[in-house]
Amino acid sequence: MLTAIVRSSLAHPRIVTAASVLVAALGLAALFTARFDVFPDFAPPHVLVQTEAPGFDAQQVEALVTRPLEGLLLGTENVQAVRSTSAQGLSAIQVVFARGGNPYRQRQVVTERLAEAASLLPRGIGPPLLSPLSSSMEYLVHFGFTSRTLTPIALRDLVHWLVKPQILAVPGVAQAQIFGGAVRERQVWVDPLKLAAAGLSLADVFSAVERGTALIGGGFLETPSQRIVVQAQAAGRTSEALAQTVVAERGELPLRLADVAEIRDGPQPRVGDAIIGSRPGILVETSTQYGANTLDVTRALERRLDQLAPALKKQGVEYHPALLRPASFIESALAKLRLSLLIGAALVVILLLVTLRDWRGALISFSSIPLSLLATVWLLDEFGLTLNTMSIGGLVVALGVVVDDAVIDVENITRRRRAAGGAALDARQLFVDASLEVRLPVFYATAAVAMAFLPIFMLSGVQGAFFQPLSIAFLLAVAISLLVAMTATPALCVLLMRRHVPPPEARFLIRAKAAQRRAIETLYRHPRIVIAVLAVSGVAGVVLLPLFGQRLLPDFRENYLIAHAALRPGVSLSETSRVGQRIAERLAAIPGVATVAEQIGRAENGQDPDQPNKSEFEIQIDPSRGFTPDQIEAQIRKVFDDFPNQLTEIYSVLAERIGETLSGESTPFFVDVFGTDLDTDDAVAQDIAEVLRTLPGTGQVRLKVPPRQTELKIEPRPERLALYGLQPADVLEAVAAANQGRIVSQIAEADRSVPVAVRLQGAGASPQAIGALLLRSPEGALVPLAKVADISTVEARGQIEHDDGLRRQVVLVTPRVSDQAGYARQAQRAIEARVKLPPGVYLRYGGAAEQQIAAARQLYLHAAAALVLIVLLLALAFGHARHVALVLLALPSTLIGGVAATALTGGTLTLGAMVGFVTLFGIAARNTILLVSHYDHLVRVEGQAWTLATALRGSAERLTPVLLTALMTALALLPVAVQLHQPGHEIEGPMAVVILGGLVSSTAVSLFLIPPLAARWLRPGTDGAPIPR
Amino acid sequence: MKRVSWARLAAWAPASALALCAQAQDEDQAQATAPTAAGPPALNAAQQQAVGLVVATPQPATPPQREMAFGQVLETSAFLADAGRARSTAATVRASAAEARRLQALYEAGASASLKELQAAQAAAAVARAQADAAQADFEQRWAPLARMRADARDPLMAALRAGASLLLRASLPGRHSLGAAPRAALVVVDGLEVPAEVLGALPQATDESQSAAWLLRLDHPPPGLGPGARLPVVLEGPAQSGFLVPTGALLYAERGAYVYKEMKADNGVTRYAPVPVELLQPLGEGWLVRGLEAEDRIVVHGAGVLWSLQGLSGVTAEEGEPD
Repeated sequence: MLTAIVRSSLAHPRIVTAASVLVAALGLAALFTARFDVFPDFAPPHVLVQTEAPGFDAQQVEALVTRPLEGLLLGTENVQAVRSTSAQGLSAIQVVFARGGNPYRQRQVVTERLAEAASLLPRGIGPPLLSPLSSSMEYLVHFGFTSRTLTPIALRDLVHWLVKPQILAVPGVAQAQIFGGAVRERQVWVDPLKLAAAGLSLADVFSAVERGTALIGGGFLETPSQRIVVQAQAAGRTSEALAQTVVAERGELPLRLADVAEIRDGPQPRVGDAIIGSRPGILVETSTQYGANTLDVTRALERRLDQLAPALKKQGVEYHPALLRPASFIESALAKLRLSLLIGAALVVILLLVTLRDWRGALISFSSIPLSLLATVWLLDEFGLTLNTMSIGGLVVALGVVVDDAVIDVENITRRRRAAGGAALDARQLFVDASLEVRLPVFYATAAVAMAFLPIFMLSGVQGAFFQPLSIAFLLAVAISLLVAMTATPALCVLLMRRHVPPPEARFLIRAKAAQRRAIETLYRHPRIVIAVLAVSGVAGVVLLPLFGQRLLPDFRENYLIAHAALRPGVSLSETSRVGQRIAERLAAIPGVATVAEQIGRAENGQDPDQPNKSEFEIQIDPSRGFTPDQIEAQIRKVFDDFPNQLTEIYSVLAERIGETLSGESTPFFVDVFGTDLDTDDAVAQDIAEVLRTLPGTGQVRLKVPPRQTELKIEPRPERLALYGLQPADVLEAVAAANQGRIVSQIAEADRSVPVAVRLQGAGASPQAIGALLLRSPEGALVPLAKVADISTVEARGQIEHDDGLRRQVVLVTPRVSDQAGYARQAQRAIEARVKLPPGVYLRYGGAAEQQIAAARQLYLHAAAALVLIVLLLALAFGHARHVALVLLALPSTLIGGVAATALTGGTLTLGAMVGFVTLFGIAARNTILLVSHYDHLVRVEGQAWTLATALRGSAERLTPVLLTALMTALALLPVAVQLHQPGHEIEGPMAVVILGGLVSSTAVSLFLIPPLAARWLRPGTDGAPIPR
Repeated sequence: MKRVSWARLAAWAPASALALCAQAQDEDQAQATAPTAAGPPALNAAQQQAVGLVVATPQPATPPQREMAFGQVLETSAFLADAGRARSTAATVRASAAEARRLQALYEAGASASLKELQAAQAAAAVARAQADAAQADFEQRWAPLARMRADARDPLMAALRAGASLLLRASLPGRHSLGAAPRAALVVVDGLEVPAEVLGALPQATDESQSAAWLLRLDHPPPGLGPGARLPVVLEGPAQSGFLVPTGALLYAERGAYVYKEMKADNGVTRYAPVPVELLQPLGEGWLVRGLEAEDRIVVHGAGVLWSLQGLSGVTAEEGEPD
């Protein structure tokens, strides 16, 4: 079949070339329209169910809201994990589904399950709400607004009613969470004295407000010729009008709302805040829809906001763009990668021209590279895959094979033509022979490389989600490259090289061949040295490789850092804001910091159920100032030194998102402590934290679930209530109205609705004021709350975590070592040895480090299987055990170069570097397969006797393609490796470094070590006669 | 053999040295971080300045005790009627007693008074007394402070009440069933204005509506429009209380009550802040009058939340410090 394809291409060179141009054009078009993203969708489908439970504390939320909802959700099909957080006033449940499912269907299943929730939840609990379906990265753009003239309420109104709808109207935007400012509500502040004086109850006020603000449509009038709409208006649309609402009648006189309450617009109780720069403001956090193109959506959103900015400025509002913008990383990464590839391409062209000394050969070889890569991009786009760091990484890794494919044919043809000298040749036959000579070995070599990639392709979980696009892009590129080598390359050869006589071989190649010849002759006489070098280097490579520190993903060099800070749970929002503002001021003053924004607590119905003690500083680095993210991070830590115990972690945006997706936690290592008794869990977690602190390399250790916080416990006393004829519910309702308020209705105001809340005066900001809160008995007697209820200050749980329905405490660790997997193993051993678990408590280890261990284990297992497959393939290709043995003998030694390169550049093995080793393995196998096949060709086809001279000839003839391939691959990857520490090269950089180092060892092995061994022990052909010395 | 050793060294040495170097760097970096000690809140000068800590000496104050009461303007006519009934029944008693005595004298003198007439007069006198006692008891029950008042003091009051120059108020203390010492003064809050009123005494009778103990107040020169049935807040001022005034922001609440942070003597540039329990006496303006502090104490009046946070977190976070 391979022969038929090559012959057909040679027969129709113009058609094949035209088709190739067309495919390249399609690829180019796809390149401009492809969906770009930072990463593939690495997060498993998940749904966040949030339920507001105003006024309830964490334990009440756990028992009354979270538990019943978990009960419904745990049984849902295809669910992999259900994690929940119960906090004051909020239940947040994350349902994680198994990969591969339809996220829309899974959401629907959750929605159906939640339909049963209404009957399970107590009165006053809001409906469970599902977060919108968003992409894995979730973050789109964070931007802010501040104003020196508008009040926090007016600013929030503006952002909520003017800006937010425009944000959500941008295609691809899933959600806009608003932090800061103050949400307007119309407040009816009831005076309990006046209420009692009027002989009314709170229920009367609720009812009056509801009736006073009710809007009932007026319908329309139909005259014989017109239909006139009746526009009914609610009576209490303004504060003044609402104040006139009649609550009851006393004698002849109506009793109005104003007689018992004060009505004014005010802020809702806040659950979050924001600081922009060093001023209070509004922070808007947007997220992308599932499957949306981050770059396109970001740019569209920014265009929309830029259009709005002038109008907002006229209203005294300053717009602060791009406070956090993951798209910047994509742009920067793509720009850097583009530059690296362009430089690489230029170097490759120069090398081709220098080596082949023939523009035709250089053009044919070079043109096949973009053709293969563009065709791959086109197919990736057609299959709906995004172009991201990983798929581009796959293309970069494929360069080695693509380059080899591009060179091998042209070089073989050129060599044959040179060998023929000026003799007349059947050019077409020469092309056929030259192409077919290498086709089958190339096919097997490519198949071997593809098999080497199988372990990466078969990775499961998050690792699989990350690296499958890489392996798909690689395999696709390699397959297309093979096809291009069999079609476009021969066709172009026919068109450009038919009558062309190539110039003589480059002088440096002639010298290299001479040097190779001398080396092989020398080593042929000392086979033990060759074996020793192969054995030692092979063993060294295999032994040293696992000694490197391992981590799943490298640190991404983004221009944004997120610093997490936390005060003690139970601290007031205003105190967190005050301190946050001071921190933000200092952070903004760090040289190299462009912007600082702080989100405090949570947004209403936001994604994170953070309490007011928690805040996140989003810090934008200005790269033009010349400071690295590491330097800025050190400065940030220095600032936090003056704010003791507040900083918890600093992450790049990507690292944070990936960490959270991997395990639900953002730290690289954590220990879940499961047990029904929260105090016991805490004690065990403390023990674990102490043990971990003693380990070298432990950075920050903290417990996720905060300690108890101060709560005011109100316990109605039935015997006291009976004295006044009060019901317990009356007490709780009054407490709720005083502290939480009750949203009674919504009023329409121009194009927006404003909630109307009834609140009770008298509840100040002190526990004493709560005790003095006056309740009204059915007879009208006023009684302070403290008289009918026990009020005490207690320490209670502010947050309760569940995983799969079980209570848990989590010990979060951010190790300060690059070998996170090693740290995880060490930590696990230490905990198992030194922490005694009480009955009913058990542990679970997690985090990126654990995932790394699991991924490495999976990778090794699949690699072993792949090795067996490669051996079988080689056996099929050669049919000789010695051939197979020779190829396998060469492979381990090639690793040493990659190992040395890794050690030189930091000594940490990321999965990217592992992919580099796999690629190296493939390149080395390919070189040896082609060399051994060429020996076979010389003996079987050209009828040469298997002598040292034949081995020398075969090796010399393979020197140019091997050297050329190595040099071209090296030059193509050199800019990537050199820019190892630049944004966008985090995955590809380590791969390139490993491949570059490995190319040195693999080239040396195939040029100098394999030939003497082959000459001595190989039996190409069938005679198997020993080689005369 | 020598060649083999050389080859091994050449292959092993660079790679293994580099790998070990990389690991050693990691460990050095990790070991350079020294753990910080957990303890009570302590800040150095830079940290105090950073978190915006403000320390001040609390102001001593001796304000009167203030208690909020629920005032209700009483019906003057009811009081006048009760007083009138008490007076008229007393007069009836006197008249009927005189009649009984007159008949008694006539009867004993054998004059024109029959025994039957005498007994009827005596019965009428007894009825009148009973009615007078009941009226008096009722009057005392409802208007005890006024009932105990001397007539020369009560009569002008009644005249003032009749003229509308004064009003009587019932100042109920919700939830209270007993009263302590009489307040020294009372302030009736009329549309936000505090108008002084005279505390006449304790009212012994609880009403259905208030179900609580109450004081009877006299409000002179009431504003026009304020009449019987009106309900309004009343502030009762008791004896003076000594304490220190601390701002609300300085106070923290815990299981064992309220406390403030007191600045301790600095040690090596580090100042510690000790929690000091305080007894809350009464709110005063934007702060609280508290007991439990000394005049020379310096307490944290701004930024106490950070110290509270620091105190709480230090006990639960095993966090390593950063290298300098």
